[in-house]
Amino acid sequence: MTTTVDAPAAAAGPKVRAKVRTTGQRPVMTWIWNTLGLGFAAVMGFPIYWMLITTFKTNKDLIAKDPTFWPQAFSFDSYKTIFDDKEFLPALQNTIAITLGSVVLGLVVGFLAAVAVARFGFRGRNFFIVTMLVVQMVPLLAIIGPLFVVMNNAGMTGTLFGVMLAYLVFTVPYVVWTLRSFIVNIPAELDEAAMVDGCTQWGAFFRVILPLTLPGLITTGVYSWIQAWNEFIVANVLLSTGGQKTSMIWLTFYATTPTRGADYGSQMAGALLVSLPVIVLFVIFQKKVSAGLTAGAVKG
Amino acid sequence: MNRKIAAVAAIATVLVASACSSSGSSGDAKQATLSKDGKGKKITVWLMDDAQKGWPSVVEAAKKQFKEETGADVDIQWQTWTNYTTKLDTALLSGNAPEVIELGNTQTAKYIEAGSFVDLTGVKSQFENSDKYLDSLAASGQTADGSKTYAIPYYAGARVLIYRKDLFAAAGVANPPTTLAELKDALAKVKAANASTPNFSALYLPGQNWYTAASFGAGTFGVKNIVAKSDGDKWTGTLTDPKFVEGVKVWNDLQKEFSVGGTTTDEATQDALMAKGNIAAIVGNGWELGQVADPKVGDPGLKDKLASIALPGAAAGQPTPAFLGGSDLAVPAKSANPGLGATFLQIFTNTKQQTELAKFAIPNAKNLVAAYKAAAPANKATGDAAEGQTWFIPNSPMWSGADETALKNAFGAIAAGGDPAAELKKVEETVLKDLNG
Amino acid sequence: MSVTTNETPVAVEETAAAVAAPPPPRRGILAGGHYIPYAMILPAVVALVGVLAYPLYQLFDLSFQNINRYSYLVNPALAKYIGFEGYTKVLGDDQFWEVVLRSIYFTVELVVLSMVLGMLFALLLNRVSGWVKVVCITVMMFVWAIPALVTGTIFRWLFASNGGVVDYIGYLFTGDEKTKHYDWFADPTVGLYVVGAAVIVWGALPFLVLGLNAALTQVPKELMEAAKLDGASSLQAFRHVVIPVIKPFLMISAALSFIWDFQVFAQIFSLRNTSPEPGYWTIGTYLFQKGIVASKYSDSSVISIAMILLMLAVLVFYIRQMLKIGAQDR
Repeated sequence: MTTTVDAPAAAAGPKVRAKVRTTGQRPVMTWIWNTLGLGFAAVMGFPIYWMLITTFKTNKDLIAKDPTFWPQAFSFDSYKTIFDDKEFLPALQNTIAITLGSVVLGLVVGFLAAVAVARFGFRGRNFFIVTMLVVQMVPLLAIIGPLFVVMNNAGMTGTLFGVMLAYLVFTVPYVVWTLRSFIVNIPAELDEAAMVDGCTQWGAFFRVILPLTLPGLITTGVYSWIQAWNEFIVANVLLSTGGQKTSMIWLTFYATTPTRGADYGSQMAGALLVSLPVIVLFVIFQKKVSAGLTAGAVKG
Repeated sequence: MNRKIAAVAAIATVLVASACSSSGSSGDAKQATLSKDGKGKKITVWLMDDAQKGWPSVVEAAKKQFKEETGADVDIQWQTWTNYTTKLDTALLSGNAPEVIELGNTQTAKYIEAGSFVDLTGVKSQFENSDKYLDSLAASGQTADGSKTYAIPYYAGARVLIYRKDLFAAAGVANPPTTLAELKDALAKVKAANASTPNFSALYLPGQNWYTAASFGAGTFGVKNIVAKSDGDKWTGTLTDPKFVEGVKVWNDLQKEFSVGGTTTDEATQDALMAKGNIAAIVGNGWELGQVADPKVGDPGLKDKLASIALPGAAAGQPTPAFLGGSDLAVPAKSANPGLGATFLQIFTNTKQQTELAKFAIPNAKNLVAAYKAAAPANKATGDAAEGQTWFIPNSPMWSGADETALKNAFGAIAAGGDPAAELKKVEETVLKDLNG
Repeated sequence: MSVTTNETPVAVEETAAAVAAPPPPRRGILAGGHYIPYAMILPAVVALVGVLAYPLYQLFDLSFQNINRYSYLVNPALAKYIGFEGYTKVLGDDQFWEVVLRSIYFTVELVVLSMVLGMLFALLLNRVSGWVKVVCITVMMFVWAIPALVTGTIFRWLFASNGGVVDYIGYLFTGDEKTKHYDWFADPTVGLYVVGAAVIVWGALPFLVLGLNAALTQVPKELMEAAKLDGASSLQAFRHVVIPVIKPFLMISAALSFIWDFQVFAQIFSLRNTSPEPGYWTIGTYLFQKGIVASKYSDSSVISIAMILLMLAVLVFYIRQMLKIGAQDR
């Protein structure tokens, strides 16, 4: 179990954030770790697998006495239902717009505030930090009514922007708290070093702090993204007056009603299709992160 | 960026304004008039997706007729039941409520008390069949004393006995049971004939299906004042009435004797379970028959083997009273064009539209149920149930989902072996605390 | 009531600190300019105040009124201020304290389980081959991305006592026909602390594993090598090198987990067919059943505020620690 230097990490800058990776470990150990990792993935993934095969199952499996682990026959009916649904794409577009907006806004706003509390001591700093924590303790369901009133008076119910703004309230505090922990780990000497090298203050900021916070930005970005993507309660209430839907609202159209049974197959298929962009995006970003890390983000 | 800042500033200003102003409307609601002056106007209508997937043609026809008569356009906004109460709570408070909304008949009382709907009492007589509305459904749209009408019945639903003809016949039950005693005999025979089938339920009665359990209580107690009765002032409980408890025991005995599993679940999964083949009968909505035999989620092989009858009661011709669920339509007091909303209601619930709707669901009036029954053989049972005696929850603005949860849990506890009288006593206390504020 | 007394010192101390502390010398970028930190937090403050000020004011205002039916909310003239009567009513309810106790047990279980498992798997991800890591991350992204609306349904199926696959797997192992129909929900203790916990921890792990894994990338490799050269064991190196570096994220994610788990609602609600039995009630469910669903706006506000104060009481020492992170004296 020896650590080896596996990446030509940042020759110029100080190597602060290389991984704890132990690629030089004995093959036997790698085997054991891999088995454990796959076991973990199997347990975590089982419910997802179950959901996935439900979308392909025909009634043969559904009416079988015992659950079947592999469909006896595949059916794409559920997916056909989804693709035939005229509301699928418009709802997805709305979801994308709201999510993009709230993530970008949330990260910018949250990042600025996080740098402020991580790098500065200022009057009201403690109050600000505690407030950011308390805000996350407020049960959403208890304030949804007044929230609607505020948005309605501002003429923003029924608009995507209103929903976007409401989401900021739930993502910004989280971003501030989490990013702060990433930023404090960047030695203040680094910004100074960069400035000595001739960077301006803002140049130092963008060249040093921003890249080094990238893993944190990704983590909080993904978190905010998923929160916004999967949010139902706020969107359902705030969009009620405009007739617009997000994907989550659209998914409830496959639930049980007083006059028909739920179409679970289509609901699951719809949920998977709606989730897919999120997953694909993260996989892309994940590559970017590791690439950025090994190449050495500090070039100044 | 500028737009964002402007918007944020707008919110901040409004905050101050809204914190100071309070809505001035008081308890007495607006009287409705029927307006036909809709040229160049557009009304918004909230309908449940039941109509979107079940009877879109009815909605289209109503839209067309409304446009012809008033010149106004209709914007239908499809809704779902998930979290609908929160949506209504907020939308009915705001200044831009839709002209017409659909809501469940168990949700109406609290909005009626709050004056959220316009008073339709004066114009109701101009609505076709308004004197023949299904009783329980009509009552849900009125004040507790029945003097004022705020919501118009839209469609109804009732639960019936859905059973396997083939299994009953194989067990030697030739004719469908007409009384509870006959039902018990029949179930005993079916149970004996299928003794070798693992996990077999002759009649599957999930514990938390409180509507069915309380129906048996209504069978012995009577259909009026189920759960609680009001003297105009104060509610007193009827769940612990010996007659009601007696009926619940009938349900509980059937369950112990003929139902396997399901004590901690409700009725949501019963169709899928019945499709697996080891359930001979369930109590469910009319459409569940189609669900059990659905080619995608059920067993289409059962299509010709299923039948439904109104749930037998103490005597022949007197089925166990069904809970009459359904939907109402109302005109929010804060809508921009309440007069046009009322006119749309009039058109959407007229004989023509309702006769067409009768192909898909139980229509709102007794004289139209015949059309529903004629539409499909399977409709006879639900039609019978809706025409027969039906019961409803207490017509109180304090009634809420919390009470239904408490009742579901209480009947679940009875199904799990709890003493009926003791469990009912507990839940009665809980519910009364809510009803009496 | 101990809640309130516990709460006060924070506020007092905090204002005291804010007043007493002279602006410490700034280091690093953007040194100089007193207005700069304020300018940086301004957008966040504006957004939060704009959207949340009125709802929060309402939350407090409602808690001192008797708006426990919809008609009172619509016609404020009918409502009246009742002082702390609403609080005495809620806090005087035995069931409330029973629920609080259950919430505490449940939250402790959830936080400990999810943090420990999260840490273990985050470390594991650094030891497995690249392709295994990709598999794990993809699976976790799926878990994370699937909407809660749907996960509730899936777990209800998995644990169903009639045709549920968990029971069926149990049957495959034991061969006992009875396990096929084991009812996981008959006993709320099993239903909540086993099934409920499984659902919630399952849903929380992706965030924790990925977050902790990202935090681990900040551990300087030189430090690890130096520790190894000094003859430190893996465990020692972990305690003295890794933990201090990831401590900020560790503390923050633990605090957030605590906050989320304490008010957990949707998963339990969905798991119990939207009508959880009292044995399943933790504070989030209690708030929903006793307040929100019944249009008891004032009661909801009181319960919400009590809930927030309880969380603050638990976190009070912790918050003091947290405030120090990033303060200039580190």
